[in-house]
Amino acid sequence: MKLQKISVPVVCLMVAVFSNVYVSAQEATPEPVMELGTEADLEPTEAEIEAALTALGDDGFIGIIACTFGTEYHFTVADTARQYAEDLGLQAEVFDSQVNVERQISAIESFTADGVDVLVICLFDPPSVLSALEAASEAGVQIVQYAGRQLADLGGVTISIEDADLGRAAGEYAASLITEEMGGEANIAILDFPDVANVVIRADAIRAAIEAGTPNAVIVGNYLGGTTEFGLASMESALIEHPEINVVVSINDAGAYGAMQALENAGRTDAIIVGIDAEDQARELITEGGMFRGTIDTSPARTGELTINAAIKLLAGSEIPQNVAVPVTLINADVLAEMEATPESSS
Amino acid sequence: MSQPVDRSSTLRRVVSFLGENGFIVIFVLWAIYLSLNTRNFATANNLFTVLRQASIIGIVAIGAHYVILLGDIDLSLASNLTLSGVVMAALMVNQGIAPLGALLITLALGAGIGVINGFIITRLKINAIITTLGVLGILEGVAFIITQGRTISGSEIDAIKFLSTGTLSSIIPVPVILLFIFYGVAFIVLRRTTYGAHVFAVGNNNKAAWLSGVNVNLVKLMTYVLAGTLAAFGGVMQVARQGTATGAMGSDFLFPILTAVVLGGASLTGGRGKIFNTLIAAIFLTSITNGMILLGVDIYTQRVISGAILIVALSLDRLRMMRP
Repeated sequence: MKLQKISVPVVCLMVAVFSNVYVSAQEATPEPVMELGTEADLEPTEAEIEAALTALGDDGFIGIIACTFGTEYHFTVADTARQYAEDLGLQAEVFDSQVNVERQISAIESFTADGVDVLVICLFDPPSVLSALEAASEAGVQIVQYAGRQLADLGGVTISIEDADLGRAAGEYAASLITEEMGGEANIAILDFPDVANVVIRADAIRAAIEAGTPNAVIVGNYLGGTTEFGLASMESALIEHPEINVVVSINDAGAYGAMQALENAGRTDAIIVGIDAEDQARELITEGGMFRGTIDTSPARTGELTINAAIKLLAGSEIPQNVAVPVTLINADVLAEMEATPESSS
Repeated sequence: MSQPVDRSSTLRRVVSFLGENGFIVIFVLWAIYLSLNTRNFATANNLFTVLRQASIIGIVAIGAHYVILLGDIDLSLASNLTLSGVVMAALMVNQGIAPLGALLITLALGAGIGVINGFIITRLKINAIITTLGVLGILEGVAFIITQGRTISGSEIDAIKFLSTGTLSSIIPVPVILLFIFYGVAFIVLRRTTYGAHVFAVGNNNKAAWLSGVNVNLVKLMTYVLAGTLAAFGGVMQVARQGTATGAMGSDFLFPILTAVVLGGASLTGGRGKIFNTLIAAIFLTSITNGMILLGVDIYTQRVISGAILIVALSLDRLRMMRP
């Protein structure tokens, strides 16, 4: 009885701790090297849309499984996909995995049992859900993956910005600012989020691009970001030990907002912050001309539309490239000013 | 002749001391280690940073502590914090409502969530874990409906930033002052009021309390309302802290809130717990992350070490259960 009392909380803690460690330690599945298609390859014809509607019939539907609704990027992809599908008359259902593997597996199984025709899915831990996806595929479900390329082996279509491309773009832009404005010397903090294997690739690419672009700059360390609170708390502590930090490059905008708050709270106005996602707030901060200098556009709305275009092609039985690249775009003050001057370019 | 007896009694005293104060001993050792091995841990700036970071978790943990004293658990506190923060920000930014008005509406919302939890648990007799888990999902969903997955931000939020960055006499941060005031009041309410005595009575033995004339359902309802209101205030403080609100802003708060209460020694079966130990545990939890950043521990190893520290602290604390 006594042992039970001790062991229950300890075991719970160990499970919590080591499950996190396990997820953190995992490496992303090696991605197959394949020829990439373009957005134009997915543009559906009227006939294909009609064929897709016929294929779905009255009971069929497209299941959209998001990684999370907790960030603007992921919410926008899923929500745009659903709206776009419904605008075309295609039945679509959305599920939020809440970055929880078990929830995602349950959603795949439930959608399959419910007769889903195409699964549009974002994977944050591909190896853990592979079995469920294989079962869905064997049951005749077609699969479109976004925000990653691990499902090509399964015959799935992938619509993706490469995480490595995103990280590289953010790192290269930060490096160019360091070179131009700081003479190539800076103390850099990278905001990471090691819970998600794909994001680790992004953080590694940020580091590699900075090291290549500004060899004299010092990367002080990787700190936990990913959410505004994590970015804020990490940078508050990091700035106490390393007040010399003057550049922050974040794997997403949410973490970068926290870093900016921490820098402002410390009375700093001289730092450079670069994020990824091109959220509305990031664009506003860049336009204001403060420390937030740039972000990388992941085109979430366009990605959402492309996933449905791919689903339509699959339902219509058309030829389709297995991997389609979504372009990576730098958003800085100049780009935003240009968009303001020519509104059609921003759409 | 009497040496073996003395040795045994000394051992018992050590075990007893560790059993009562195990996590505090680990906390003190951790603080000493950080003071000796980092340049800045023991500076006023850093100590206030740790306290500031602990303030929101600490304040919401008061409500969690009260609920756990009842022998229940409230899993909806973090999502209450999220929804309250989102509502506070939306009222100020989107509706143009003044900060005080927005605060009152938000606190009423938090209290209302407590009423719903309390009503379902006491009147419909549904288990607290099930109830608050269900409410958790509802609150998260509503927060996402309001935000539509986007970040709510605007200069209107600047009006409440003093709750995060304000200081008294340019030294003591406002959230730290609030933290200690809330704990002082929480202690007085628990130890010096009839309601506080009833909370312990209900947690110790529900039926005996009822037979003694305690209105068990009312005590439970009041406690959930208190916890909900504190969670809402935590949401307001978090909006002030990050200057924005999102549908996921509180998603990482539940684990540290409950850990603070359990690490502080409150019994999950109810009726036993020291409120100030929850405060110390909240500060300890915050100092773990802060300390590892100051030590320059890499991001992967941080989790292993923080888990190990918690296990050691919790294990020592559990020695009290092994005492003869």
